[in-house]
Amino acid sequence: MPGALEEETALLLADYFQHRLGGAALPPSPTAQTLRRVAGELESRERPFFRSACRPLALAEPGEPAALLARVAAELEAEGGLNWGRVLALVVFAGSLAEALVERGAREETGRLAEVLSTYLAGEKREWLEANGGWDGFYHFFNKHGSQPTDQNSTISNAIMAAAGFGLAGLAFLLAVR
Amino acid sequence: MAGKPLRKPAPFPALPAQESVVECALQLRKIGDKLNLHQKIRNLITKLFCPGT
Repeated sequence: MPGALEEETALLLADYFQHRLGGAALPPSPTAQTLRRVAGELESRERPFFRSACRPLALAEPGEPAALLARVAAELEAEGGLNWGRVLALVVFAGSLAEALVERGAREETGRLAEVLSTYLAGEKREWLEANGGWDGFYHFFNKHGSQPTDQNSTISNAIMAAAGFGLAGLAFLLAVR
Repeated sequence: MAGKPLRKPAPFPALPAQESVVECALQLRKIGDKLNLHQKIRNLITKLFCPGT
């Protein structure tokens, strides 16, 4: 029987893949919603890389794309281990590969991709995932103190305004003491 | 003198599978590390300027 971490990982990845492949269902949890959001932001920022990297891999023989994904995952963490950014990049890569496979007419291959990624994260990398708070850790890392991107943007705006305020105050002080 | 034709670097799709995997992992590592660092800075700024939230 799979444990809670395996189940949650499989559910999150299944939701993300469905979302990438055109599914319109609502995200099943706040973590799934966060994954959709941050993965979408990363995918649109790095689209040329994801497209050019996945297209040739999607042309491989049946069964090969999943094996290639497993090799990319192993190679990715060979230097410096994992962090949430690398996990997200890997998930987006897998989603882009799934998209490329569907474009090629090999939708049946996409289930195997999700399976391989899920086994890698919740199986091989279980210790790392648990040490980093599991998927709750992922949620908190990408939603620190503000669950919406607008909250984070306003926080950054506040920080910029505060820095500008300090600068102006310093300038006024310098003019006053001259 | 007819110069040697310039050798262009092989485009991504032309790489053999193992090289593709290594190159792909390297790019993903860079992208992931950059994102991780940005998010950490963002979280730090949030913590400094909105400690109560």
